[in-house]
Amino acid sequence: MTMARATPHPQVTDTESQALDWNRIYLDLAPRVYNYFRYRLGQESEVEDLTARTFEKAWIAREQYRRDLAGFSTWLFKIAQNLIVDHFRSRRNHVAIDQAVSVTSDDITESNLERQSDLSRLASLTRELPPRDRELLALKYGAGISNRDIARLTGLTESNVGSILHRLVQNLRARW
Amino acid sequence: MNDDFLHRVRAEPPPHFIASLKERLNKLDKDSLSRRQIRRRAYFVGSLIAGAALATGLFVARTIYSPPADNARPTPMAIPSPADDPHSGLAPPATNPTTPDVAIASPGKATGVNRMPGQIRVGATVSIYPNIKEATRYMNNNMNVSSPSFPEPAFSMMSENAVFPSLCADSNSIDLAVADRRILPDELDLCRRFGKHIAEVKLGYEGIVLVRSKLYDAPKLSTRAIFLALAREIPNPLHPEERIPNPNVTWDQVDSSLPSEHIEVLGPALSTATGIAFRDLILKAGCLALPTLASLKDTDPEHFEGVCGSVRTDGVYRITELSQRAGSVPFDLSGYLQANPEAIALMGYREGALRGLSLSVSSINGVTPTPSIIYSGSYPGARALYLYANTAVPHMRPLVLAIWSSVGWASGDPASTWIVPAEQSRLQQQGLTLPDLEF
Repeated sequence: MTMARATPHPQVTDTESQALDWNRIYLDLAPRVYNYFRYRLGQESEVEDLTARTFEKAWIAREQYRRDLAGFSTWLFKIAQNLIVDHFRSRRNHVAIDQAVSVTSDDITESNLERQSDLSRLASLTRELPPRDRELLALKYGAGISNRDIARLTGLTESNVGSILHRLVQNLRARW
Repeated sequence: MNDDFLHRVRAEPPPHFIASLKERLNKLDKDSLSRRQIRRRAYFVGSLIAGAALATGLFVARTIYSPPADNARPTPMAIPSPADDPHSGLAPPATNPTTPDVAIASPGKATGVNRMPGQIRVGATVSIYPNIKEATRYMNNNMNVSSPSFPEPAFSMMSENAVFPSLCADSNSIDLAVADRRILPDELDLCRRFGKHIAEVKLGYEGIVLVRSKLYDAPKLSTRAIFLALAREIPNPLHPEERIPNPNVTWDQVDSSLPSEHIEVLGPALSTATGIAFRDLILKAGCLALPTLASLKDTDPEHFEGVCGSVRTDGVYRITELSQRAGSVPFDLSGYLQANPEAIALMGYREGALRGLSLSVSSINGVTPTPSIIYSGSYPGARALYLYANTAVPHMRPLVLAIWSSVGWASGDPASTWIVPAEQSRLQQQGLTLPDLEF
């Protein structure tokens, strides 16, 4: 092995990045990011826009994470978290997130309406919760992230995440 | 903890949105590639110009300022006798006795010297990568492999098609490959052509199981029924060439011989080792049982991967943290399964075995997994994992043993990986000796 092998050769870099199945990764992560925003916003409008902006920010630089898929996922949700913070900042004077859900989807099936109604109920029940708790719910149930990864994203300990979520779920279930 | 109501809020993104966003990302890729190419060309031309200018400058400076070669050597205080001067009469005198020319030893030694600061490069296929990564973490914590005498290896995730050519290629190669299939004779020949000695070590078996509480009978499932129950899209029963979002709600809708029970499956995230094994071994096998989708494997492999490896996100498959890690609030799986007779859990075979007392395991395609059945290769939900090592690379034996003993025993997700106890001593011997692989 020569010294050059300690730093990856550009050719290796290209080969390896092509080897990753980014299509599969996209199909796995896109619904999770999409649902993270739904849970966080409590409505459908702007969810697509925020999801698209998250991926566009992350996609080009994804090669840096070719050896660490978990790292890419964490980074992607960090971008999503920053976007949602910016979003709330810019809309401070607009309608609160817990306001009535506007059904914008063209697909008005019974199950969709039911989900919209669940989303609306969740939004109204979480209205009084602190942002941190709403964030934990969105990461856990919207994005389907493990407690360990939520701990990484929020700076809490894993056990703390578990306890807070347990308490939140009990509280919400009682009022559902 | 009953949190169904929170899972129910999840919704599938509109397919047209997913498709249009992917198109935009692909376009971003193309734009970025062309920008990179332009930048690379600019760097190349710039480097050429800078290099030429530097070379010219050095040449001019040397011509103008260099003293004659005879004056380069310091004048000795006394003329040494021929016996004192080893260069005398044998070679031109060195301009400076302290220059590192003497460090250039035999090629073999030079290779060894250069390897020490470098890393052993390990390539793992996508499906086994989470396992290997977890094992590496365990290995680093327990075996102090990052000590200076044993540089920490670098791990890369690679596709199944790339990992063996990368191991065997002459340059830019990895030194050790971990894969979920055996190397083919043609691929091994490539290694031999480049003079590489490759040893094969079986790491163990990766298996997944679908279980219910022992209070209830686990259904006898087929890969086809599981695909039709859990795939994100399935063929439209009226127009099989079309695909529709999966509408199935009960097991008898996917197979009339199954009971009319709600489809509810709890399992880990699909990017974990267990999730990947489930998609590779069960979902894709079920997909191949449906002619309209099976044909995609040859005609459009990328599409096949997308359609046949995607799990529905409408709440029927619920991502649940099953592993009871230290410090976390454990999910009471046994309690949940006892309270929900129709619920099924997906888990690694090893975890299933550990919890075995409270669970009943579903057969798949008529086969119920046991250690000997998995070893025989007849259970559809299991496969063997292999490691291939270039034996000429320094530190390879201790690294192989460290990986071998870490896979399946690390904490975290590798619940799906497991080593047949009866094989352990033989495999350990294989890891110790690393014999050349012969077909």
